Amino acid sequence: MLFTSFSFFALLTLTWALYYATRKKAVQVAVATLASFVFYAWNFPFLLSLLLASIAINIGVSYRVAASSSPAARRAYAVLGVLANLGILGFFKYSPLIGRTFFGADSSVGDFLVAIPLPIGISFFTFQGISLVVDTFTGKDPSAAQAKEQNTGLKHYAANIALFIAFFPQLIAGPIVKAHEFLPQIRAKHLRDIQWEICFRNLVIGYFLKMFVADNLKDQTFWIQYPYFESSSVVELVTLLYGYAIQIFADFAGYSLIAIGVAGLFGYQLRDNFLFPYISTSFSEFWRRWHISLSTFLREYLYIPLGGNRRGNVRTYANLMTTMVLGGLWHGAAWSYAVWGFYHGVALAIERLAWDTFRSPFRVPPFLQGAGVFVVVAVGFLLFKLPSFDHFIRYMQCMFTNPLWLADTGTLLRIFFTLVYSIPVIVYHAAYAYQEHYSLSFAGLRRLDPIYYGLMLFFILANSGSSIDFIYFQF
Amino acid sequence: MVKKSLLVTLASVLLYSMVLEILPDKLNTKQHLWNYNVIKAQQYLYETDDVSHRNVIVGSSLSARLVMDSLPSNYVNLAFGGQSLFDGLRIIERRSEKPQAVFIEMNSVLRGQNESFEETLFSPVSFYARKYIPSLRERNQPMGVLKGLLINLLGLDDQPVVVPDTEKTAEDLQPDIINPQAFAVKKETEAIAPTDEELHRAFDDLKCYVQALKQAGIQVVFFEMPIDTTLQRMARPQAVHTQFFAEFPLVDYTYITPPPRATYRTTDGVHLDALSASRFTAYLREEIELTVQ
Repeated sequence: MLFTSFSFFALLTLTWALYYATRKKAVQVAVATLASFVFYAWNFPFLLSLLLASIAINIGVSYRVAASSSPAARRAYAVLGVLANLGILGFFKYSPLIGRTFFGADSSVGDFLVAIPLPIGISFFTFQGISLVVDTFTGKDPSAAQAKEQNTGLKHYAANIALFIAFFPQLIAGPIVKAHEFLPQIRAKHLRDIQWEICFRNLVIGYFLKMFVADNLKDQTFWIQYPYFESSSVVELVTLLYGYAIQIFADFAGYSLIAIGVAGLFGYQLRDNFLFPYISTSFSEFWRRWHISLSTFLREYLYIPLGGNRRGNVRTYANLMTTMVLGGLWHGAAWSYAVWGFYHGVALAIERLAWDTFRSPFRVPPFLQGAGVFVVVAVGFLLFKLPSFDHFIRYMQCMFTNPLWLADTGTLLRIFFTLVYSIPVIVYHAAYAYQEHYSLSFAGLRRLDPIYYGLMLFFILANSGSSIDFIYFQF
Repeated sequence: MVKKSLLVTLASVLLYSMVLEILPDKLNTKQHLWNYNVIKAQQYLYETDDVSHRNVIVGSSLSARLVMDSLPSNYVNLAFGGQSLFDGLRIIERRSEKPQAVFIEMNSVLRGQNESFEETLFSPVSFYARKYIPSLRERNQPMGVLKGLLINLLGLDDQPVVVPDTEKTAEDLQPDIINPQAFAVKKETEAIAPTDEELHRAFDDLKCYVQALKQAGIQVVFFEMPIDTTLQRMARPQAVHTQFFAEFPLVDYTYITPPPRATYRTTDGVHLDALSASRFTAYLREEIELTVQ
């Protein structure tokens, strides 16, 4: 069910009305959870059983972690919980990759593995399950321990966990929510607690980025596909590459803002997932601004447990590369995603090495640093659009060997629309960068906010592209 | 802030509607294929008057290349590039007024209906919003209008008019396929015969639509777009051809006699080039006058 569909608006309206018709926390949790199950099962009802199984496993394991008296038992259940979540993720997501890579075309095992369906949102809800189990083990989230102490605690605990894992605004494409951030927020919600203006801003910007920017750009970046790009000029290839980087940001940041806005309507605060990533002047800064929920998850639950930067230089770089390669592979069950992760890992490693060696690695103006980071990031995103590594290499070759310019109207129009639909994202980033750099408050311009938001709403109504799945649904 | 923003939105819609009134009528606002398909569909749904005297063509990108200026003015082309005849039939079904005849392209019968297209056109709120607020229709998208104005200003043309040179025959033209890569891909796909399930699913759907059209008193005519003779002999087109005559026998249904194929040239094995499209449209017109009552 897309956030831009009539069925979503109908479900949202009905759920919201029922949610606030009662003031009882238990009923509100049940309404939101049931709506989440409807949301997930809308297109593939049979996959709801997987979500329910994941919820049941995480409830059971996290409760056992809290209920076990011996540290060894607690650790054993925690490890079991993490492995169970990784096992579900690995089986459903990576079986086709294993089947294609290690088994021949005539292998029955290979055929079986390739045929396993990829449930939507699996990368997100399994990670949230891991967060629950680990936070319970470390004591960061005391919900399971509290439920154990109360006689009727398990029922309420189970209901809360079901909501945490299945909560529909962030169920299928994030932001990845950590247990210790979400569970304390579960209490009775009231209409008066809704921060209407913040929700409105998030929803309008989110839908604008998604429907006006991303959905329109996708019709231009369509031509990045093989074999169409082979006959494009260098100028067009570069423009489309830039356009795809803008599109992927608008699509994902737009979805995240919509998720945050919708969650706000139900009284839940989710963290920002993007913080103007394209103003970054270093790769480490980029990863503090891009898909923040994933990068903080990987840092907290993978990089730091591996030792982080506390075990010497060699181990630090190894931990960094492991985290980035696995983070890349999380994005998709294809080796090109591992390559993408490795690519970013190498960039981070080189940057770290340069910083450690020279202290101030880049003696170039921030604008050029930012442009350099953007170019490297944009080239990396091409692996999302061209998962076949051969096609990726071919595209890069064409950028150096194709004619510089082809004077036909079709090319001109593709470049025109790519640039025009990218303008809002450029303005969005430039305004923030300017404000940060000059420490301005823009108080005067803030008075014009109704005009900006009113116009964004107008363009959503009058100039939306055709709806397709959000790019990150494939992960 | 929220109320003020909503007021600005309302004012923008009203102002934009007024601006559209003073802009040239025939602006080319097409941005890309999907957008163009939606524009065509919405023009039929909201703007085409007196549908009862219209003849509607449904099909795919093959018959989307027909030169409509060469057909009488009561012909409407609801053939959509990248889509199938079922999308056109669905639109005819959804509009309460019905045309007098429907011409069905046989080539694309195996391609199913595009659900996203149906959702885009008929989603409840947006369907009625666009019906009563023309400024929200696809052809009036601000960026498309901006493009149309720039095209006019700069004197560019993204839809060059092809003047048919009727004295030339295919033998005068270079025989080579323009896009050999696309032709090679087509040869691979057309060599694979459709499964029984595929055929039954497609023809069961088509039979439902044809039955409904006939019950509404609408004449149904089948026609085939000429494709490269090498492809025409392959398993897939042959299976489609055979199934058509099995499901819709010649004695009960009207077919346009196919032209001699060797006189047409395609860009990729299936899509007629501009000159051939013009030539075939002229042929189609003659055949319709002879065949259709």
